Amino acid sequence: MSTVTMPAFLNLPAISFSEPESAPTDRPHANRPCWRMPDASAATRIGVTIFHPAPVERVSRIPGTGDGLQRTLRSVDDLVAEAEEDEFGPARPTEFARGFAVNLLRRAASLLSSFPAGSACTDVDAGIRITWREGARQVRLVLAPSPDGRSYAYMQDSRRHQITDVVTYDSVAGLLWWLDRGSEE
Amino acid sequence: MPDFRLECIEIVYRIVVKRSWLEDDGTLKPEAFLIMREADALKGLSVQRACLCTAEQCKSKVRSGFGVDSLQVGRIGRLDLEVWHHEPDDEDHAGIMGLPPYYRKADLTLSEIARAEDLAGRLAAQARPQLRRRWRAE
Repeated sequence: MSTVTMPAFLNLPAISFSEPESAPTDRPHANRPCWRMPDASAATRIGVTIFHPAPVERVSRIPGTGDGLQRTLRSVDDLVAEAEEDEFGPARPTEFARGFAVNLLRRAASLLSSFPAGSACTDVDAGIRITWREGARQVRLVLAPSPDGRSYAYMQDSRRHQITDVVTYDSVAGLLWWLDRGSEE
Repeated sequence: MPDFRLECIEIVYRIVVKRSWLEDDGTLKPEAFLIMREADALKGLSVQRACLCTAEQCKSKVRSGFGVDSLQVGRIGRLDLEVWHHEPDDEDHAGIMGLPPYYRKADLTLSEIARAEDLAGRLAAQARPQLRRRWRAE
């Protein structure tokens, strides 16, 4: 079993990542690992608790997201075809931002049994913004245009929002897992 | 006429000038409400006053666009934002004041960026599509 830990600021417990105990045979991702709900006692601080103990559910609630990764990557690639600038500033992201996005998304997808389709646009500094929505839940991933730039991830639902500048493929996977499933309240 | 704050009952239009501000299903994204330019920080995020300019007439205000969304000034006010008309702008023009200067995000704290994202998301949620059509000035 490997464990993926959310950024500490999120006050979230660890997410366990393991093989299913009994792999069902009638599901498209039956032979792949799945996210498990963590034990609430894993939380180390009082604060927003996104994940609660609940029965493991192995199928995404978001319908038709089998090509979500490809659609998201295509959305990123579409930006490269934009004019370099428009009246709001850069319209085309830097090559660094594009490479960062593609690498991050692919690696995050490798941890998830389903990947929601996101929509990209060029940021004011030629970085890349990628947004995902599922009902009231949103995740916005903002990637820097250069290695010394600032990246961050922002998440919100109908009641709260959080932001972190810890952007790694496993933290992105955790946010997209939350987007898909919510807090299971 | 001096600058004035719009009444709560007014409706304003936000023109969608970038395709990337729209989701595939036509929903307006929060990016439409981030302050991307210094000018928008000084005079407010640009909107048109519905009492003086129809959604269709908004098309003549920009070189190209992809749609028009409406918002109610009273609901914008619930976010502690104000909508002002500034002289010597055209009478049908106004600006949403109070949004964080996202274009300077390198100088902002993470909590200030979070506020910009939060407000942009709430405004996007308030926005109602009035026009979804691409246009370009001749």
